[in-house]
Amino acid sequence: MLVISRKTGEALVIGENIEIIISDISSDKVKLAIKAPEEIKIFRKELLETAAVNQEAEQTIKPEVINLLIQALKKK
Amino acid sequence: MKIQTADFGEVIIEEKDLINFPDGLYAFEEYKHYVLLNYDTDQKFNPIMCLQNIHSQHPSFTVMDPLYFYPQYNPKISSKDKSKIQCQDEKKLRFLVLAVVKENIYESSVNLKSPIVINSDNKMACQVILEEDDYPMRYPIFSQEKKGE
Repeated sequence: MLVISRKTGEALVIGENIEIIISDISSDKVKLAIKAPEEIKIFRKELLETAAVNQEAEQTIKPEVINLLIQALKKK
Repeated sequence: MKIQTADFGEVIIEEKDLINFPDGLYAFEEYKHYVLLNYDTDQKFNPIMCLQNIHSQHPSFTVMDPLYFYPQYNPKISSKDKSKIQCQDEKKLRFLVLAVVKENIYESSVNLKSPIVINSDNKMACQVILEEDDYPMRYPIFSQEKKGE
């Protein structure tokens, strides 16, 4: 993995047409400005992770399994 | 009204029990109307429920009351998310978390990072991704030492 240090106002370029500018830095947060073509989709990673966990959660569970879970929780 | 459910067959629900998600849930954005159904007939015990789409059997999710196993759970909801569900009073917000239930139930987990927030005043709801709080997306329902049972 490539690791680069940048200061506020500095930028880096990925490929031909993606530019990431360091817009602001505070103690535990960095604000990025991203210039990219419209067809490049940009997501916060946790959004994709949430979507993946949701899809896993939707997979049908047999009612027997839910019953086992309820019984186990009652014992807790 | 009658609805078809994944786990309970045909169920009759009341209009007042509808929960509206203006933005849907992540990966399920097109489904906006749900109802909460109890798995257990013992009404005194319902930390685990089913969040069921009202228009077809799917999607249907197993959801849990996070306070049941994580009593200190008190996530901070951003004003942007609060305005999505027209929240006037933070005390009226109710949290539910989605469970990934495994065949081996001791491997099941809940997503504390992306709870469902319901405004009990108007039954509007949304799924939020917490920014400030460091909650895990896969929090085990059972503690580690119980998994071997």
